[in-house]
Amino acid sequence: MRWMFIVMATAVASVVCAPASGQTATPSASGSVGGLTAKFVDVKGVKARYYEAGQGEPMVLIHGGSTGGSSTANVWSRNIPALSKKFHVFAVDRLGSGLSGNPADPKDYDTPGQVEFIYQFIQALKLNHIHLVGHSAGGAVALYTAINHPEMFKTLVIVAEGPENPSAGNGPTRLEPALKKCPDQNVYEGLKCRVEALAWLPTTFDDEYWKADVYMATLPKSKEARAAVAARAGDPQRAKDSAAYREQMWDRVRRDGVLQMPVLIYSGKNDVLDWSVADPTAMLRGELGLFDILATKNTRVQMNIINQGGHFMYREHPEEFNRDLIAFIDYWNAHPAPAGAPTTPSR
Amino acid sequence: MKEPVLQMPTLFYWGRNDPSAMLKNGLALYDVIAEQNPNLRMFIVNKAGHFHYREYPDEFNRNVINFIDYWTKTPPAGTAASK
Repeated sequence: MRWMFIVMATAVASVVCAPASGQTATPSASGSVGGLTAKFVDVKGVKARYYEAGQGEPMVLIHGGSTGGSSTANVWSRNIPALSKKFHVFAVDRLGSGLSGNPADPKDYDTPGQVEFIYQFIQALKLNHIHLVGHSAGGAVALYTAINHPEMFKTLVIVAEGPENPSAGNGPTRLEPALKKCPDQNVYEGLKCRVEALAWLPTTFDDEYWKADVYMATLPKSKEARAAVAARAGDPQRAKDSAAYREQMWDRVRRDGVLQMPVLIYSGKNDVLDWSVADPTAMLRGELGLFDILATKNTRVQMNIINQGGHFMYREHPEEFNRDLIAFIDYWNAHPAPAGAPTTPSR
Repeated sequence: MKEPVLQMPTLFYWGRNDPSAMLKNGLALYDVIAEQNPNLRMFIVNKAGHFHYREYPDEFNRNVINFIDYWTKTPPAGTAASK
């Protein structure tokens, strides 16, 4: 895999200019929010922007969204402060998103390239025995990274993993009619509209968040990333390859049982991405389907369903999410499976 | 149950493999309660039957204690204390 070095000239650079949360008129050069300070590291020739906080066992947070505009590591700003009291937290912008660089080969915008970027980010920072957390499309990236390198991860948390799930069924999701009211998804306003449609509570995002978001998403590198992704979107072979990759990954879980670490699926009951227009309430068919795939050969799978929670329930109910995550990891740290033993049928 | 009488934090704790209280029934009941109770949560645990709290007592205890501890410190949504 070849990577393109986009902007940063130094291998590792730290930007320390983030004002306190809510006090910013203009975003910092590093796009930092919530009183956090973003850093940069070189990942095989591509800079990766990330937050690092706390001490303890490493925890890597992977954001969701489509590449180059609708989501960055900033989505975790309400979780990093509390989680970093317990863990050494790393929240990274995915390849092509936020202020992380773009790949030289547009093919690497696809899921396998995203997975490899996260793996190389972890290698660059020399992390191991990691608690891995991924949201939405980042949940798929987290899942596949854990399947490829299960020995590196102590626990896996998949939050609102919509796009790569088994089908929600019964026709379109509630997101689709909402998107018809949004501007074109190839421009920032359309992407912002999509994110707002996915949130359930009006408090999910604040002004500081949006200012940093529009700053990063309208940079030339982000526009370039979106154009590259859009150019690939209509390729039938790409869709075929993507489906085959997903099936191959699920088989490694269902048939080969490669995922034996404790797994938590965290779901918002009101997530429109897993809510068919035909259903009066969200049935969470996609996430329950994912549960059954993961549960085939791994006993230690739990799913939490949060009422009044949308696609970003970890921002809508951050204290509860943080507490549930810590409790889940604490429990399994205190109850490790015997070395080499499969977790089925007993824990 | 469709009346807003259950406003306290409520946890549904379900075994994925319960042959009597089927998960689909639990999810349907969740919908009924969730209509009026924003403080409803559901935990589903794998390879667990109707007596999951005996099958995995430490995990059950920890999850219930964590749930109660959280809501003891957090005013439930939709109540006078939360406004």
